Amino acid sequence: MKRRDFLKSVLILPGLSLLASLGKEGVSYAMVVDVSKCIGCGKCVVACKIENDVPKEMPISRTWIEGYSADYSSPYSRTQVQKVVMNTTENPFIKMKWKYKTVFYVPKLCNQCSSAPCVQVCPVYARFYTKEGVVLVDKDSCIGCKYCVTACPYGATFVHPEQKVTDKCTFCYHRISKGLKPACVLVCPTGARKFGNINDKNSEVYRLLKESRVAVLKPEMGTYPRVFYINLDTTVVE
Amino acid sequence: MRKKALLIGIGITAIVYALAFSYIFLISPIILEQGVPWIGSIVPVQIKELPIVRDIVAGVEKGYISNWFEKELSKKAKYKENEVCGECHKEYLDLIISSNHSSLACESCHGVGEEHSKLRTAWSIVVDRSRDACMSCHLNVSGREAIVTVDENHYPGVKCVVCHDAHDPLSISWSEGS
Repeated sequence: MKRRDFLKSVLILPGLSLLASLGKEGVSYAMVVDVSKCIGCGKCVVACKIENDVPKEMPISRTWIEGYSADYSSPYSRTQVQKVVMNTTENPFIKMKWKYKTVFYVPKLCNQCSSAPCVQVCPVYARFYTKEGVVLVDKDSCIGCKYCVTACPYGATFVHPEQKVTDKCTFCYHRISKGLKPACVLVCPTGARKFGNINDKNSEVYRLLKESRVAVLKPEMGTYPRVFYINLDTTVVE
Repeated sequence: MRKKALLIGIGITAIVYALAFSYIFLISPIILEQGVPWIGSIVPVQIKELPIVRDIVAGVEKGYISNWFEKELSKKAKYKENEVCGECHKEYLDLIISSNHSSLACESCHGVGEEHSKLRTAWSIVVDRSRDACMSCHLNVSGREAIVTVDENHYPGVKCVVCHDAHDPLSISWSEGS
């Protein structure tokens, strides 16, 4: 056998697998959040904590709402911003006295990055991608070293105080694998959160991504998130 | 001589490469857990009957290797969807779908339906008729441009459900006696 033939035969298996994967569009989940529709009622935070057994009174949550109050000025770098976070079941926005006149609410959650820093830094490979693109934590393998907590640019990972391992949003993987919506999407009264399969041309997420101009959080980090925001304000930097 | 050494080197590299490839993409635990859609078309053997795979499966059963993925999938959904509510409360579901509150799920206001779907008693679900329950969304707080809001001067102290039906908020029933 010539060397050239041998090298060709070595390349056959990866080539075959590549060919087999071509033309097959699998399920790829994404969430689209319309910031202008969020009213800061906090029902998503409560629902997430109940659905996923996160302690209600502690300031940790898989999803949280950030209330921003901004006073725009020129030059833009002098813009004044006040930020209040809701991550318990108590809603601080109801009795809030905001400093500045423009007020808006931004729901945040794990961005399910396509190139996730938490997966890269995990020393025991407890974090992994599912075939739908959701980043999951293997809670049996996690040793609680908190590397992922420091690596996450969005602050979406935390240490569960009862289970003593890291925890984060899974897009309610036990629900979406049965065809249900995530808990936060289900209870959102204004439809600010939409969830679905990007590759499905009939899904609402596909329509929203096609029709509207979307932004992601911290694109400069190179994480390629799966959570897209419509009408996102540029003062939302974190 | 140099050519022979080169060939042997490339051969060993290729073998190592093929082994690593077949482990990573064919028989590693995570692939076995999730399943590979194209595996049946390329590899004719039943992967799960290979000895090394049998060991891995046995390890998972004995707890040496994590089977957390199955545990996560087998978790029960606590929030039921509207279809489950509609099995018994079809009249309310039909009413709210045709009303101005159509974007609300039942559990947005009534809370988690896990217990109620089993027990089916009145006390196992939240029926909050207080003013605060409506005001959690409809109070005139800054930044709520997306929905209709009221401030505290709108009939102060009166429960919203006296005039508005929560399932059909635009139909207003009000009389002097009530």
